[in-house]
Amino acid sequence: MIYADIALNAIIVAIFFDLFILKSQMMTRGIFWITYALILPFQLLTNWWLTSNQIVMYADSEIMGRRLAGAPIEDLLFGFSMILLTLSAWEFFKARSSN
Amino acid sequence: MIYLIWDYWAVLKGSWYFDSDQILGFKLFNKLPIEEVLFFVIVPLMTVLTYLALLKLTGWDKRKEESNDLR
Repeated sequence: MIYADIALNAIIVAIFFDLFILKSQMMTRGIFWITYALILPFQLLTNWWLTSNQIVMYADSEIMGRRLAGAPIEDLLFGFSMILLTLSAWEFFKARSSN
Repeated sequence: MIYLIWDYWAVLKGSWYFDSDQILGFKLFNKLPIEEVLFFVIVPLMTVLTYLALLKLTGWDKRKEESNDLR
């Protein structure tokens, strides 16, 4: 599996967990999208810094080829899935501890 | 705390595609640069802090509690 496959799987897993397993349903809440909108520019900024200084490099064979702010566009999928899973898990454990 | 489980999973996943050049030299399991491990600790932490700050600022946390009471 190349990065694109993994990132795509990660986002499917994250959405599935959010909606059906953890049932936090962050994706239906406006506050989640505001949080994501706030984090996204900083992800792009960090990606640009890390790639332009060649601290992190991506093998061309592992990515789809399109890049945004220096990093493969798959990085956005990965970033989104991680943010979604983090907040979904947070809400899940918060609800469980208050019961 | 329990985050470490899926953090660990994310780190394993991360080991697939990161080629590092300018790193400190400490590596976990001879593979993962220590910076990469710290990344997966710091990013979820910052994500949650951003979320909590926004909940406070927008007052959405109160609205959520009210809707929970109705259930």
